[in-house]
Amino acid sequence: MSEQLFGGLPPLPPARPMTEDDWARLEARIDVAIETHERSRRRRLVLATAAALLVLAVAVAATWWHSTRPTAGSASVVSVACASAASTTAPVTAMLASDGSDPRSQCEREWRTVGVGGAPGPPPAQLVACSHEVDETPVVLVVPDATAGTCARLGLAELPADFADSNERFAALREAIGTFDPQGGGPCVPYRDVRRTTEDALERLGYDGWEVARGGATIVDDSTCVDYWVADRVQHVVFLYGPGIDATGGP
Amino acid sequence: MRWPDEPIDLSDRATFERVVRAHGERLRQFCFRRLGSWEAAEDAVAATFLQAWRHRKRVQLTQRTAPRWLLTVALNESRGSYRRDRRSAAAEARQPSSVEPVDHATSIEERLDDERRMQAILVEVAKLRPEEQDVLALVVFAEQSYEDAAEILGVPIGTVRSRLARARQRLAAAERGDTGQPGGAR
Repeated sequence: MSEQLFGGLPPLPPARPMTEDDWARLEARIDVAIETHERSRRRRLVLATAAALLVLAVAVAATWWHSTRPTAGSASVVSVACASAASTTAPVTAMLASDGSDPRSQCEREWRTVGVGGAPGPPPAQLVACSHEVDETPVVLVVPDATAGTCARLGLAELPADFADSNERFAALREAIGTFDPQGGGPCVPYRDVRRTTEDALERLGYDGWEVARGGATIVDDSTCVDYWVADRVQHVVFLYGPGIDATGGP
Repeated sequence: MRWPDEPIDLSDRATFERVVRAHGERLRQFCFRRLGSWEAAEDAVAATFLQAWRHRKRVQLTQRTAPRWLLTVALNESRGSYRRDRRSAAAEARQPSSVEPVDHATSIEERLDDERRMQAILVEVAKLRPEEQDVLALVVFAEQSYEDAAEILGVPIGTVRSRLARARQRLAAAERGDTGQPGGAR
């Protein structure tokens, strides 16, 4: 059939049976593609969960917060959400992990460098940070507004008095544990070392009752390179993840 | 009597690897013929199996349906790459590729020669309409029957025949050096 169709064209090159080298290369490419996808999926899941919690907090708990909000949010901040408008229905356009600085400064940087709800540019003249909490998971919502009483109008609380301290404490924990990139050329930091470092940091920074645990099946043994970590504020556990695919189905 | 058609559980890594071994070579050959580059072909095959992994819970593959499903995905994966690459296909056809397929059984020269020959063919194939390229790829490059090509493309078998006929005419016209508008006939 090909001779007939390609009557005027050169014949196809001959089929080349795959060698073991070919197989090894192809299987490695497939593994990398799958592992990259799975890692990205896990990270999206973490962010999506945080975003869903935020929406739930704003939409469902606003009234409850307004009337019964607790006075001290001593738990550490997980996420800073930058919204493009002072409204509980405005889309949150950036969800950042707190770096320990003032959340308004963090969102200002986001406005300048990435853009919040549009192209990068100067941030609004005044940003307001409000606090809320779902299932003991605190989130700071930063919205543009130049008038007083913004948080109350949105049904949210002002940031608690000890906010700066707890935020700095979590930033210190983040710095102590560090970040990892074993597949991107970074050094392999084995699970046993990260676990010890994390336990020491939790104790030093006063995270009483917190534990360190393996993230699913991605940590095969004590020598597995740690890829990233997640602090679970509900269970008070820091989960450490390896770079492999989690056969248990997720983070 | 027909043999029972066994479902394939791609969630099981060992099964997934067996599927790769069973179909990888055929898909790699097909993608090479679509793309004219061994490296790009392996990327397209990896993307194909990534899709299989991603859809492992939604798509119930069986021993009988897996080859066609994988070929359909490979057709799509190689289509995007092909469109990106074909602008430079003519230039590449005249130059050695930068691909580095080093092994002992097939020499580098042979593989580079394969690429040059395939890219020269693809320069001509690129003059066809996209739907004609797809039919040609399935019937000629992947050696599928007209019936299977029709099913993969979701068109009647008569459409497959007519697209192939038009492709043949257009290639013959190009061979004769006709300057009529490529892609003008419908």
